[in-house]
Amino acid sequence: MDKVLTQTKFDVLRTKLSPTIFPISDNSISKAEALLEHTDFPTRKIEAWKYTNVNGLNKLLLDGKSSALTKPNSISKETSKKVHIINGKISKEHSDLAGIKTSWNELPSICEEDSFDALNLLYCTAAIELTFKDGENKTIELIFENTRDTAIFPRIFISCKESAKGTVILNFQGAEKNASFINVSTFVDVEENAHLSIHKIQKNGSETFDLQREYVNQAANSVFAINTFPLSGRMTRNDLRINVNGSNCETFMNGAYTLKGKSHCDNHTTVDHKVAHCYSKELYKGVIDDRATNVFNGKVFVRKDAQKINAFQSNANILLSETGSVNSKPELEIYADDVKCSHGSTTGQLDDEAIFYLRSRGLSEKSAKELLVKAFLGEVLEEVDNEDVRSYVEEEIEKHFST
Amino acid sequence: MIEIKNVHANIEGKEILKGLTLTVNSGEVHAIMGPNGAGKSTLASILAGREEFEITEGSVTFEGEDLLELDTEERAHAGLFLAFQYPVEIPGVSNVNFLRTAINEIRDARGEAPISAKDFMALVREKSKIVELDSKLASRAVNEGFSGGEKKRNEIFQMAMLNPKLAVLDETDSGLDIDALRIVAKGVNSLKSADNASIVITHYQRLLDYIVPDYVHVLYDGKIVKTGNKDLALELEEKGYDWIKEETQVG
Repeated sequence: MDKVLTQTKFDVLRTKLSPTIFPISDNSISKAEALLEHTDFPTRKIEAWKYTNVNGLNKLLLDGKSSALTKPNSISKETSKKVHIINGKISKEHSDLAGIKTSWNELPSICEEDSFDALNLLYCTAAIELTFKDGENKTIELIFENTRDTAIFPRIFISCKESAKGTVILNFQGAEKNASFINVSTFVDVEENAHLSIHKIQKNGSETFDLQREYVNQAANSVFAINTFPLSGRMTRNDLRINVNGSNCETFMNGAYTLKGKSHCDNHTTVDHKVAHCYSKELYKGVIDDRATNVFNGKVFVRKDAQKINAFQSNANILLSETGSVNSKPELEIYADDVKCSHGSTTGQLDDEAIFYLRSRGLSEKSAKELLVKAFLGEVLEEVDNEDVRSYVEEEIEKHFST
Repeated sequence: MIEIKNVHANIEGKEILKGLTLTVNSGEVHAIMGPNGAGKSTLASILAGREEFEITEGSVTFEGEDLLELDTEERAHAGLFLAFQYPVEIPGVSNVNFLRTAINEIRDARGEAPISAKDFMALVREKSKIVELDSKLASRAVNEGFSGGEKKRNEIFQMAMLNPKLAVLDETDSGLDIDALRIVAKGVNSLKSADNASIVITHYQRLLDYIVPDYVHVLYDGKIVKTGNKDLALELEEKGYDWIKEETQVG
């Protein structure tokens, strides 16, 4: 009997995508294809996708329709290196590419069983490798300017070599109504004694779907910090997976999000403490207005012999409307017995008494709320050591309230 | 300055104010005293514009305007100030930052230009001295981790910064030790002028040793039942409120 072949959701999506121009080995192709074959988009039956439905991806036309981006904001000061990726492709004329790898004999294969990573590999639009060496201490900003409704599939490799210090700004800027599919895989290697900070801004167009994954490996005595700012977009999903493989590491994860309209944001983070004597701290805070929805899932694993781990995790949300919603799930899995770990999650409204107090001093209701929200998110921004990023995000929070 | 006429106010269907009438003119200090549950804090709340209270009858005219038609912030713009009985802690919002926003919104509502940073800081220095408020407290988060006395001094500091026409002090003396009480009273006295006025709501006579009122009113069962000068406060301190209750019931 003939097997009935039906078209899967990935099949439908793939008809709108152009295969990558980068060379991939046959082995990598078959690994990626195997993950996509007979596969539909993840459904709510899968725990990691319980509250995030990506079916809307197939409603995107990805027809290249353009809309102007008023200001392709570069965030960092002029001392940094800047690379412009316009509608998914590196713009050589606008970029300082010295020391940055952008051409490949063969793209590295997928590292985990993730169908969106497989898709990213097969349809990669830009592959960039950033390397930080000891004694350089540079800042590199990748500016993704999205003015066309298209598929933007960057594959980013960041390598912070032994004893090096580096800062990466991943700055996604979309035109106001942009309806793109952004799908990013970022692979990060922090070597011994290295110190790497990543700041990620997701200021996407109102119809854009942005699915990103970061796979991070930390070696002994290293410090890794990642600050994530989903500021706009139809749907934003971040999967951050950090393996702490060496002892005496420090890991910092901060996030601040401002959601309104019908946008949906989902931050999934995992820190895996495999060895002893490490510290990790996570703080995600956000405000949710209108019919927007937010998901947070933070996992901390402390493996069997990973003693003397200090791991702290916190997620706090403020609902500014009656129709917004939050699903927050902090998880700790501890297999060692001499550790100090905490996690917590809160969701509430702004304090009416505080609003009344501020109004009684002459502040309008709007400024009172704005002041309270800024104070609420300020706790996250205090953790951001990069002046440029901090002031950019502060401005965006202000703009969020004035529009 | 303010004319409160026959005000009736409910909360959750329960009538608290039952025909309160009070007129305060510029340059005057009025004390409102009364037993627990008489409606003292309700009076402060309806003047500041708390929405939980429903005003079923009566009127309040402030500087010729219908006060009850104004939103809370519009009342502040018009020159009304309430010193809270329980000042709110607001983590993350700095005292001076919020005061600058408040001053500028008030100035904006009055069609004035924003205050310059230099003038503002000079004002902070000048006014924090009045209540002996450490300049460090002035720049910390609003009331966060302040002691009871510091919170009340911060209320008077804010009052000094905003320079209202009418200040309503809602049990500002509650929870204060004698030194804090003296400082708070000194602050209020030094802000007194011929152009402004205060309504001092208090349960005890003690505060009135320091802030000498022109009039003392006894609020009982939602109405002002007796008015006198500062001697009335002393009489209340000596005899308690029972004789007022009896007098009212007989009357």
